[in-house]
Amino acid sequence: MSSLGEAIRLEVKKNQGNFTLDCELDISDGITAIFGPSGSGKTTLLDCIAGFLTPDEGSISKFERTIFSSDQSIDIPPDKRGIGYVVQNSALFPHLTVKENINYGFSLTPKRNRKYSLEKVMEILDISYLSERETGNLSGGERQRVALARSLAAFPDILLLDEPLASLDAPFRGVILQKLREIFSELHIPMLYVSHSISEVMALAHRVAVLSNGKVIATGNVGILLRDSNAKQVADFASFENLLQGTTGSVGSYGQKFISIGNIRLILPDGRSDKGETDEILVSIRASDIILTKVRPVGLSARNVVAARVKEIHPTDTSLLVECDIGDSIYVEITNHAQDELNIGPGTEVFLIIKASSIVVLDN
Amino acid sequence: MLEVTYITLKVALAATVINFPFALYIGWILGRRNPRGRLILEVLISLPLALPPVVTGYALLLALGSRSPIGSFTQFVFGSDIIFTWVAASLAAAVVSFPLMVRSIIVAMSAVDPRLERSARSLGAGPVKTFFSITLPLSYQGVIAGTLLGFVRALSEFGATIIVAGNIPGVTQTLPLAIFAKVQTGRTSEAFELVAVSVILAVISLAIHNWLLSRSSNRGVI
Repeated sequence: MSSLGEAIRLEVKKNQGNFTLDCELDISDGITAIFGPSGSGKTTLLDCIAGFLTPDEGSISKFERTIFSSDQSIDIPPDKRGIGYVVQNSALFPHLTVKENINYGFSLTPKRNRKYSLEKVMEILDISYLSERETGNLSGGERQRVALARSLAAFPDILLLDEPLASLDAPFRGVILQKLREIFSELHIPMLYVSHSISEVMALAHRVAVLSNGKVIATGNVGILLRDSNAKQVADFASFENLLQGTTGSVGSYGQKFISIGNIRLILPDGRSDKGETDEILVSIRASDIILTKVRPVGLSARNVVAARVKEIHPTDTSLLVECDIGDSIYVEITNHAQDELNIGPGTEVFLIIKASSIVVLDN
Repeated sequence: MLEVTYITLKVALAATVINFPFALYIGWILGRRNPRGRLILEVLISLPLALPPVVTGYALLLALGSRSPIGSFTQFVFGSDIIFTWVAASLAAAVVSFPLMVRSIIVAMSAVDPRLERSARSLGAGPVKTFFSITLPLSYQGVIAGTLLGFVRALSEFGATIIVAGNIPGVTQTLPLAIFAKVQTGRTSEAFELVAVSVILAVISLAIHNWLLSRSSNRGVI
């Protein structure tokens, strides 16, 4: 697909009362996040791309094909754009079963254009067991998986995701994040992921466009959320969490479960249900729940003490986020005052103390 | 009595059949979209509800009479205008019952979550497919209820009908017109029989209407 040029190339103006969306954006293959606070115009932008809002002026193209142009009077209707759209509340059809929901777009696609089977989609999203169920009694996570499957089964060229995790509880969020990664690696559908959660964006996206007051103020890889001064102004670091993917295993006489992330192992809290010996899971650790020290601590009750090397220090408006290398990047929040005492910088060898109970396994 | 009942049902049914596609379309426009001139359209379709039926009937008489464009057209095609025929009675019943029908349909359709229709569109369904696979299945109980309400109103139509269709026994005389004629001529026992038939028809239709409404509100739309 990348040979066909940018997934989406757009230049739109849309006036809505006292708000104006004025965007110029190229979105290439991969997972791109549109990051910004609420009211920044993220959903307006997606609606323009999907065809539910008509921009006042500008043009939008998808893989070099013009789908909207005010100059050329082109405005392809939403059903002919080949763009999937998954919204926060799933919007499942209440009068249809799960299978019928997923089959909706599939059955509208001519046979020769079906790139994969319905079963394959249901398998990726792990919802085959829901097939005959009514949609009314599904959990939030199940609903969102069905909505994703339904969108994929219509074979979109691009998938738009409008805060798909926002209304979900933590464990379900992890599952959906995992599924989005799997979808991308198996089906290679470019995704445009709208979110106001910096943690989600950093865990999932390859690139990010930062939106503020209807304008794109920064674009680049997700690292710019921590580096670009414009981007940092709209990011909320207060509850920054590390969303880390790893493999589970068990060890020791207590049969304790651990997770391998990068080149470290972390003991997981007791009592989580285990599906298998080795399992790909996602865990969340808040940056403020990790203690950083320069000397190896001894005699601690905390189960997890791991060595790491400081990669970079990112000042936020209230504190510092220390990016540490553990084979993957993990972020630790420290105060300015702490930094005065620690005096760490890129390359400093440090130890991270992580209580097992502060690790949240995002898994249902 | 049988003949009067037959004519009444025929006229009301024809009125409902004439109205249905228009009511569905206008109901969709006003229930699902926000068209320009919404207020004007809403006032226009509700006008027969507010006007005395006799006024509506007189307007129809002017519109359908032999000197009107429609009248000359029907004269040209059928050799006569349709005034004082059962077709005119149906049209009168249709105009008067339309607001009741369309208002119920508007309510039913505006209760359908627009996000569902948007989802259908982005899954590749065109506007027509979306209407018949999403909007209508999710609002059909309200649509049927509204249709029945219109039918009940058409059954009881009197004022407009007597102006455009007269009160011709065996041709345009429906139950209300027949009752009026009997009462006028003092044949009260015959009038009572027709009253009984009227009540039975109304009760049956309203019972079905209310049952449908309660079902649709119980199920709700998620």
